[in-house]
Amino acid sequence: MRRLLPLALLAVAACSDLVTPLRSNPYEYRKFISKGLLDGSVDTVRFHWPRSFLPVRVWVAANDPLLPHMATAVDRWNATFLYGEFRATLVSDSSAADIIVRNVVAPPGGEAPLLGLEALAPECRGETDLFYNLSARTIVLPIRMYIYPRFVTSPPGLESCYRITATHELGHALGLLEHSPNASDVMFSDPVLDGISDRDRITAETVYHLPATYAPANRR
Amino acid sequence: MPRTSALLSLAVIGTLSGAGTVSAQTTVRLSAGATLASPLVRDELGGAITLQAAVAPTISLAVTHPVGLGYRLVLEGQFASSSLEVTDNGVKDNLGALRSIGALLLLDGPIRGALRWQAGGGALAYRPARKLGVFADDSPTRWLLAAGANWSRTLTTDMNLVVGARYDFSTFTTKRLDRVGYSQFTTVNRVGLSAGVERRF
Repeated sequence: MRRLLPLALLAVAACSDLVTPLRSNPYEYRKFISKGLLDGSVDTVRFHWPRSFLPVRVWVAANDPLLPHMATAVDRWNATFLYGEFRATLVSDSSAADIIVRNVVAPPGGEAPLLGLEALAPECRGETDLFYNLSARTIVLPIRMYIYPRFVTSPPGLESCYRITATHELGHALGLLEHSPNASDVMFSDPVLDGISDRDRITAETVYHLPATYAPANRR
Repeated sequence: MPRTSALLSLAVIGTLSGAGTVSAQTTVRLSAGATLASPLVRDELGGAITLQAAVAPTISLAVTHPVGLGYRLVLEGQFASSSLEVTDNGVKDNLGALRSIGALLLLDGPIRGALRWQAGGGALAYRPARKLGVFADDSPTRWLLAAGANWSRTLTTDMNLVVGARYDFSTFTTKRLDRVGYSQFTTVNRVGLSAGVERRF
């Protein structure tokens, strides 16, 4: 019996697994859009990038002051996921981009249906426009992102505002389609967190591990 | 570790030049093969997730030295390179290259004829190409225990052909997993097959 004990211990050690943590509840990340004016019904938009689309290609002009901040945002979200569920990379060719980031005021919405997701901060403002096709249940690429200063002069704190807003807007583009109600999350509507909180991470994980109702389309 | 590197360097020089700079009964073995490993992480997030190194081409360099009564001490360095693969709810994805470097100290003894057993331990260092996911915060080095068997056949007066099979197990976790609340560890079981040549001195 004593001879078997080390073997039994070895067998137990050879089969052990990581103990996964209890995950807190995510905040609301889905968008509800009206399907029709007459019947008043809504459609639930749950969107994430399928693995076949990874890495998602993000374009910012090479001379744009947003570039280093978008790179930080990409690094942050890339590092957030444990299993590479979302990975993005900066590309130099805008015609091959899935997300186009521009440092200009967002144009007014036209006829095409879009989800305009904003971030409001004192020094700068951000908006991510996702055009959708209700009948095909697709998000039409490229996603367009606008991050721009609120004043003509560069106020103190603009750099950090760019960084926070870039992280926030990329959060929208990866599938966090609503704002967190908690001010300590980067997905809060007026974000102040210069990073990604545990709640942001858990919510993003949830987005990527539940079925999407909308898929990206028209990749160039 | 510098002493290990020096010994391995000496072994490489000895192998390449054919110079008998080591004592007469010492051998140097260069092998190539493949290593199959069990998952590094198993998780459940809306479906089963496994993170696993693909079958890895492996090269190893070992120095053996007799210690009496037919036993030998083996100092071995291993290098394996493959891809880190995740299977997420049935969908497979490649997360880039994953290299592992092992250093082992083994005792080697006779079984029968040209068949010999080996057992010992050492360290296994993971070196992912990209600091992503579970490897975002560190590239861990873990202890490992190993056992196996070798079969050899004389090729020339001072060269042997050696074929070996090896099993080892180690534990796996990372700072990142720890930081986001994962506790304990995964046991990683690896099986390797190799063939190589051994030069006697």
